[in-house]
Amino acid sequence: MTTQIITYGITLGCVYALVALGLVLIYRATEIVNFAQGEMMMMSAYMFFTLYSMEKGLFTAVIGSLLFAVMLGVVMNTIISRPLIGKPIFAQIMATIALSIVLRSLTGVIWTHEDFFMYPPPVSMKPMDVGFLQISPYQIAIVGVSIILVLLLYLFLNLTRFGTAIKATSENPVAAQLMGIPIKRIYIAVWILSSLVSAVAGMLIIPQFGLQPMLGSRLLLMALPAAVLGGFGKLEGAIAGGLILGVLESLATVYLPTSIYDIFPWIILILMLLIRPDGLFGTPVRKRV
Amino acid sequence: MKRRYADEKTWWIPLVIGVTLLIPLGLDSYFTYIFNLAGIAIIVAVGLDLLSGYTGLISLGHAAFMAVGAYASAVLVAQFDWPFLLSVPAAGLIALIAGVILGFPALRLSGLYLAIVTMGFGVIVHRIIIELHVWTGGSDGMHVPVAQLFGMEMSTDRSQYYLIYVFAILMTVSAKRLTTTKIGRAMAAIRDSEEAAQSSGIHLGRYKVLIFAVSAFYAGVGGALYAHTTRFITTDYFNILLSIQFLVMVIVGGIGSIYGAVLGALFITFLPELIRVAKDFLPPDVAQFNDLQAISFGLVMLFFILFEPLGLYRRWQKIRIYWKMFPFNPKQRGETNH
Amino acid sequence: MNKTIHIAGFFLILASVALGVGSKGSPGVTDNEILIGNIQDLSGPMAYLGGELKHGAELYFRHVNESGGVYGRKIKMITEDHQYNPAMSLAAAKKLLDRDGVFCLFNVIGTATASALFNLVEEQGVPFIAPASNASSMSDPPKKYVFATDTPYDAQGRILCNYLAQRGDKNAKIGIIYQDDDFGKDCMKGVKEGAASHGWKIVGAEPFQRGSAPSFGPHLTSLRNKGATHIFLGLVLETVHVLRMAEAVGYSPQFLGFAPSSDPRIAQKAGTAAEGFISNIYMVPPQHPEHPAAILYRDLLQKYDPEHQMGFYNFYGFAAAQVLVEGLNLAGPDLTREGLVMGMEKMKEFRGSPHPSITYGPGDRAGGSKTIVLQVKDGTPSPVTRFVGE
Repeated sequence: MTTQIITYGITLGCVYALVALGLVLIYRATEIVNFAQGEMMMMSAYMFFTLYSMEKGLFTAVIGSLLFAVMLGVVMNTIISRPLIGKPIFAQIMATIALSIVLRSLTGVIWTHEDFFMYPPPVSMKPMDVGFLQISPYQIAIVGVSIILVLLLYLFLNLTRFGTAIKATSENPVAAQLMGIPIKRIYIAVWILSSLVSAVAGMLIIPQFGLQPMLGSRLLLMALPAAVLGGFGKLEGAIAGGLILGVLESLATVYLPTSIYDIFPWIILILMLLIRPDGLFGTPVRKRV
Repeated sequence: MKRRYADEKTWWIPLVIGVTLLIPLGLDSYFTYIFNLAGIAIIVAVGLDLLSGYTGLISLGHAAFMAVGAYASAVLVAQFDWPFLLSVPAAGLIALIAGVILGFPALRLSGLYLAIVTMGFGVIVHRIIIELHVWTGGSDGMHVPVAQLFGMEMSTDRSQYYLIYVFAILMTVSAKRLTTTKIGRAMAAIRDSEEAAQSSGIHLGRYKVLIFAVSAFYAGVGGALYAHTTRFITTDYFNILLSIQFLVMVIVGGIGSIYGAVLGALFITFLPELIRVAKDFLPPDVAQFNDLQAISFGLVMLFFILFEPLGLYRRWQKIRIYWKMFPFNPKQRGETNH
Repeated sequence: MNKTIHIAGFFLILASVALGVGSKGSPGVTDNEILIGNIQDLSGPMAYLGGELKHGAELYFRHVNESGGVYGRKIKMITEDHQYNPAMSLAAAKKLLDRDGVFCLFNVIGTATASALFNLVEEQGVPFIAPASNASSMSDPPKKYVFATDTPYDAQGRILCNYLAQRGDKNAKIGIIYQDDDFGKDCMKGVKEGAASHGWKIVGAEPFQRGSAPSFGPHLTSLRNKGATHIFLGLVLETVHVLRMAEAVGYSPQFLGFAPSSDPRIAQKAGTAAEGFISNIYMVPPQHPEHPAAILYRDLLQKYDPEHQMGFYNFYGFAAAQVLVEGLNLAGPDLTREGLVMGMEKMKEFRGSPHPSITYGPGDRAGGSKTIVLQVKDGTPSPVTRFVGE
């Protein structure tokens, strides 16, 4: 039974990790905190659902929503990134929150406020016995896709020139620019990457959570502690944070009194921040004296 | 040495106070009620501006302090028969204590993490209020008795208006005064650079906790007034969306400007209601559009942040400067700093 | 651009005051019109339900209007949005009363949002008919101007337990998944009382935070491990998630639900997972083959808006409108607010609406006290009892 709980926790954690990853990607490169991340994920998920419901096949649906995610990333960059770079963090938070409100309402308008469900799920959700585990193909899919995605991201960032350029921009935008790196293109790329990662997360969770316009902000509320837990700096931190939070949450639902349930991630977060104010893997946030 | 406030043009303050006192005479109950909500918003927004605008400590959970104040006053009056005149300051004090509690993590955390922790704080307060359901009615919400002042019941919108605005005016003026004192300068120094402030001898810890306390006190008083005005409170109302709304007020009005916070509070409180009234003048298809209010709100927020980040107050200053220099205005160059 | 912002930004406040000055209304009744105030959640978390309620009520009013109205007066309904926020609900009510001059308030969705109006309607003497909430607080304690129509949730819980006993379920081990608010707790209270009266044990009660992501794996696992044979779901739309999750993991206890989960769309969305799901409603479901109100509803839907899918909430708004119109009829041609209150109090055993017979009286503001138990067969909830009480 405990293995079941942990398995569930890991799959939950993978989703948190992916959303947190999207957040951190953008933050590292542009220092913008994107409170609309949840809504971005959700809109791509809705797109995926719509395409899938049109019975054109899983593959088409995936490709279609990924394309949509790319477009979304570009649009977001144009609206948010360029006007907001360098502005005080206050303004960024508020602007992305405003955007999240608009996107959420827009989703409600386009797709109505009804709950949607992906039925039957593209991958079965019945648990099977695999060795000592009781796990469903759906859960395997989540973990598998997440691993592949993270690996791809890792390879891209570390082994390609463009990826290195992104890393350089994250370290020091001014120096990067001086070295001839086209910053504007980097920003677009980062937003696209983040949007893609979130889109995948969105597609993965639909069978479990269903779709509704409020889903974006709900997930963001869970992914934010994860991102902070890992320190908002390193990508590995986001992944670690997400997984840890997912597992802890799953354990908590069983072993803790249920009234604590909704504040649990926050308690963990606050406790951890008291001990390590920069997050688990965090680099101290850059300060200008 | 000139008298401290000699340079300020203060003649318009009595004028504003006068207008404020006269307004309700021409309004119906609905608009008075909206003004009441705005007055409460002014108090909370001003307090938030002190914290987030002046000192730069972003709070995404300010609604929680308001909740603490609201429930504190409601419980004191309903369960313990405290008089209203005592329950409001007491509510403010209880909120202040909560602010101190939250101030401590502020000492160690950077801006972003602090903001996120304040979000968590909101969730925790929500849970605590529900757990105390013996007093608070839990998730059912709580009906709040009418405020009783000197034997009179403040049950009409108009009487509540005066009650609220007395508080609002007093607290706004105090906040403004605060910013010109040593404390105010310390706050601004902390916002601009914590390291520099510290090296100038400003005790970061003391000031951060202090400002959280003051800001929470404001929100607590606002919450108490809210409880006795709407007469029904639920923890669901004091959620992160509400916290965000207050932050929007501060932004729209202009970060770091007390009068800006007032303008922002008025603007944001009136906006949805104006949309509600305005849609009666719109063609029926648009007016019936269900999501109208939500989308308009988000768009307005976005608009302000992107195009006028320094808020309404800055816009007001620009207007003043324009008229001062008229007709010798310089040719318009791009004014904002891109 | 700058000048536009000047004007827009600063004069907003003055505009408000200008608009606000002196707008007094008559209390909503003229020789040919009655103005009704309705407040729904149109863009918040329950926006779907709010829209459905509004649409259903408008459907019935249209029918009444086209048949000549009530004593020659046509009914016009103005709907405001409260986004499930009690302060906004109060603001909307004040706007409707002060600026639009509505005659009465009608069918506000949400327990908190309806409760927020109680002080206002009592103090100003405004009838508030059919608040859209099954909370017992709507009618207990009774308020002079508030007339509730629905059998409350806790009664529903007890009635469901009675049904289980009556059909022969013995040694039931009861589990509950409930929304952690007044609604869910009302449900749970009823289940606990019902279970106790039949000597059944409650093996687990799992709360669910309304508004959080609907993921029920842990809840179901926990109840499964405790051996629950019957699980009550004090949830609204999340019922579907629970049913599907249970099916996906191969767990099939008897699931039971309350009024909101009897909507045929829930059965539809849950697909095969809903088969056998028991729920109850405080009124006849819209698909009922014989009840005159259901037949009327379906006919009108077909006639005026055939694209709109039949639904429980749609029908609920319709039913509320029927109760209101009956009250208006009983109040007589000389229509005042006090007159409506007296008219409503005269309502005895009104069966024209899909509610069980509605009776009010001095001091009695609770409408129905019975429900119909339904079970999903072949994808549709079908009645397995008539109206049954406790």
